[in-house]
Amino acid sequence: VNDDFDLEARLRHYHPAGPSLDLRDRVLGPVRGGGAGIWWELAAAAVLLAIGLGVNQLSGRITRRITADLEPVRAPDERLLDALADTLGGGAEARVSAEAWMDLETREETP
Amino acid sequence: MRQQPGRGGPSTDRGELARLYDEYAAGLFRYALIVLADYALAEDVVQQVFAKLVARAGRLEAPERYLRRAVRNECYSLLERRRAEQPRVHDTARILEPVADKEIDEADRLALEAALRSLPAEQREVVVLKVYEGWTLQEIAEETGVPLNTAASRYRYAMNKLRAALSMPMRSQS
Repeated sequence: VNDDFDLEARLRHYHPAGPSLDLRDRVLGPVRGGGAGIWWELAAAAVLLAIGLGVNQLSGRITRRITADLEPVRAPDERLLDALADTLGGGAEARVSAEAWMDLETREETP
Repeated sequence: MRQQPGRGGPSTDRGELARLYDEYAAGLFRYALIVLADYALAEDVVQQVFAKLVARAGRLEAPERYLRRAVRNECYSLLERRRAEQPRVHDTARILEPVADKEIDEADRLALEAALRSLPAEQREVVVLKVYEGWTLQEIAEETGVPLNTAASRYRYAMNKLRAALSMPMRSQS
């Protein structure tokens, strides 16, 4: 084996190439940064949950307010209904027709 | 306080993984590169070994030994699979680089690379461990799990083939 000094010396003029610089990123990139990373994720999830609940509550309030605002408009106007029923000839049938007509009018006005 | 090798926390910790990478990855890659004689595959092997390290629970008592064996296992598993598959197009990326203080002789480098590529992986492994890592044949035999005579024979065959490939005079059999 000692006879191989010349060949070993020739081989030692070189050394095996090193890894590319991006191998480190490939190895370490997908790994999470330990405990701190987990806390950040939990905090972000909590914030998103709070925002979701807030938006849900707010949209409920807005819906209720809109409904309250629209109800008087949708309530049948008794005087108008009576007048319309009289115009249609009076009586129970005319009243039913007047109510149906007003209901149709209300639906057409509502977007 | 800096943690001692093998005494750190779970391997999934990024800081610990970065420390292990910075300490051992270059050597592991060079070893894989010579065994496989393929730059891209050597990088894949090192990446796979570190990915498995992330998934591995518990502490490493002897990280260098563990990592080297893992890389060796991956290399030979890969070579085994490649034998069963279609021959891959020969990797053209360089596997040898001149040391800093030596004059660059590209033709000589290419000749040595070609000669190394012509060896079986087991013989290249003995060459890299003995010539570039400075291990004794006894240490190589223990690491690779073969008798000392086998390690010595692989080295002898490797050197003879390299001499023949490089048109250097043959030495006596020892």
